[in-house]
Amino acid sequence: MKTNRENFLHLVWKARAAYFFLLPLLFGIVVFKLKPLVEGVRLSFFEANIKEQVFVGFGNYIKMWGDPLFWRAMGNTMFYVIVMVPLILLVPLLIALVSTKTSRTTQSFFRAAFYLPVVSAGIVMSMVWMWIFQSSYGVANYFLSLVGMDPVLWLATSSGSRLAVCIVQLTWSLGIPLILYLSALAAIPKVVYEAAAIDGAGPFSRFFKITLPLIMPTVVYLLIMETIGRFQTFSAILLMTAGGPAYSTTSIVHRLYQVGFVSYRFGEASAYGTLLLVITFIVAFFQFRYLNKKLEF
Amino acid sequence: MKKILAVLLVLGLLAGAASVAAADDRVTVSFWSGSLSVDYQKEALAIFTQLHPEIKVENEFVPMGNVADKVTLAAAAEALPNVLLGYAGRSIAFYFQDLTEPLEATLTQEEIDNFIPGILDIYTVDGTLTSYPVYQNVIGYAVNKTLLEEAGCLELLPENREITLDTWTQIAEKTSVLPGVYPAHLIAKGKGGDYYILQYFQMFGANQFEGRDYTQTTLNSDAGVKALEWMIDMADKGWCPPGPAGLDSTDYAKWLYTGKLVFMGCEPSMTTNFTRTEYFNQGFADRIYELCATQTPHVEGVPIPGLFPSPTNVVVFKGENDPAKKEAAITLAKFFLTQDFSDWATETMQTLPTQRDVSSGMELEPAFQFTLKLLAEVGMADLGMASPYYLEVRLARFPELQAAFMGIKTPREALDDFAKIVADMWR
Repeated sequence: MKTNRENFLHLVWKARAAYFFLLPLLFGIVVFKLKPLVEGVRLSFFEANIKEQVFVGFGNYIKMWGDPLFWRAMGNTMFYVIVMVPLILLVPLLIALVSTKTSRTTQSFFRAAFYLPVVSAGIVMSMVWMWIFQSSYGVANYFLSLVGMDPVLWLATSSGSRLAVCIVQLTWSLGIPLILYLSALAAIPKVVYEAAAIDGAGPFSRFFKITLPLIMPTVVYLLIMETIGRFQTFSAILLMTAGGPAYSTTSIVHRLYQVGFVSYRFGEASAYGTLLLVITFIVAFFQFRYLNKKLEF
Repeated sequence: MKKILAVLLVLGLLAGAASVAAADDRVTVSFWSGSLSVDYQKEALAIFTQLHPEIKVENEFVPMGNVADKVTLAAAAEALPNVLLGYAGRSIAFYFQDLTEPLEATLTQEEIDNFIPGILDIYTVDGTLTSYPVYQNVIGYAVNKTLLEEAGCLELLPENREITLDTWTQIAEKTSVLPGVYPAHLIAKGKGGDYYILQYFQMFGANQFEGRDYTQTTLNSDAGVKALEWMIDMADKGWCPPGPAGLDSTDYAKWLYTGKLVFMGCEPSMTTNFTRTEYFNQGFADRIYELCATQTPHVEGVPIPGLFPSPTNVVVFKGENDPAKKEAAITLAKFFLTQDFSDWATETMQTLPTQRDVSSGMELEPAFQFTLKLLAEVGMADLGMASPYYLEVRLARFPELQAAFMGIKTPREALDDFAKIVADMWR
């Protein structure tokens, strides 16, 4: 009788052609993802600059724990996750639901319009948004003035700059969820809705009893990916607010960047990275574990 | 037949490669620059190649904002270039990472004496010359005379252009009534341009460091607190664009080039360009304004503040074991100190020279004349570039100032917290 290991090896051998073609990708993953990840975790136990590494055990973690800026960055990151993830899940869903009722041309317009920021360079987008949010000559305050509101110091106050970062991130993040929602909605057979309509189901019960359960795999996928993505919030902060004013927008990854690439404390920066890895892994694991049970495929 | 053809092909390729290698027996050095544009790099290196045909330079343009990241990664991969031309504040940080060659032994006494007095000291740490200062901008001060004329207060501007705080305040009051015009600017977002804020501290006699002691800042002195209180008051009066905590040098440039600022921290090249007709024709300025370089204002009794350097330096990276290559790298680095390069650079990029025998090419321009004269009188202010924590100090200062501008902290609290952060860096 064959052991499990022999069975596994037999299966691999049988599918050797497929594995052969997967090799380049696996090589890329190992070299560009796995090795840096392992190296990052290792480095977090060293006091390291460009040239030297000295083993310090959990010294970097203890230092990080005692740094008030770490807690500030952690609080801001949690804010981005809690505020942004529901928005990024809900807003594209609403747009997708509305646009499925429209013509194909309109749907294409929606897809293109919301996907455009995804393919645009982050630095260009940030520059444009910085002009929009400029307190003296920005478009945002111009529109507010049209409805009689006072100008807002968007990037000069804690609340204003946080709101600005969230708005910018939202515009960057709508494209992919929208495309995925539209695909998921298109995959639901029309007969299911027709049968429900005959049974007297209204639009709300059709949405909650048919649409939502059938697009749930997409929602869960987006929930996990967006949660991971928001934990990694960085570029909008770096380009628009530099973490300010008074650290009000700095995130864990932004802090990691400053510690690593401004102060050259690579060990401490790796500790930030490792902690982030652990947090995102735990959150994603529980999200998947809990929600996976409720999925209908 | 096929085999014979294949062998011939391989032999042909090898012969070709060998002949190319034999023809090019020049020493190759790699050069990165984030300070010269691609075209300027080509122009500068064309001059170098004419002078040193035995050295081949492989040059790469590195956008200024990416220099630090790229050098860091290259150092980790042991793939540093031989020579880097870039912002001096960054260059010294590379020295503290033990990445750069000491350069003091590469200069003759004659060459050392040829530098503008004191300039090498800025880039010397514990007797080690970390880089060659190649050319520099200096941050001075300027006033928009056109706006003073419009406000009818041109006579308030002293002939010798020494501006006390009283004079500054009188002019600010008069010009603040002009529509859309701000008497001054205040930017504290944290993306450079910090010398503009440090100038305000200088006005009150507060310096970031005193006597080249970088282990503690003196910005939290009584004069410093007074200066910050004055800045907040200026913002409250609406004498500068609103929300300094969220404004950076991009915003500053917008106001400067549209003639919305009366007083401003300014490089002489900016002052010169601003008054040139072609600058208006290029669409930068909405009309032709007359900008005039002045001394940095100061409270009566406080010495006239020194000027802040904004230098471009050249470093030679460690790690080259081939002596011929190392020598070629030094030759390339020293080329940036030669008359041939400096003449070209100071004129092309409208900068000031760092050596006595180099003419600026801009010396006939009034703003340059004034700045050079002022520089000789008051010298350079110490930004603290020779501190190993120079970049971290810059980074830590902005949030504290922002907290003060936003009213989260009092000026005293903000500056004391900043002083504590600076002191902690050395623990």
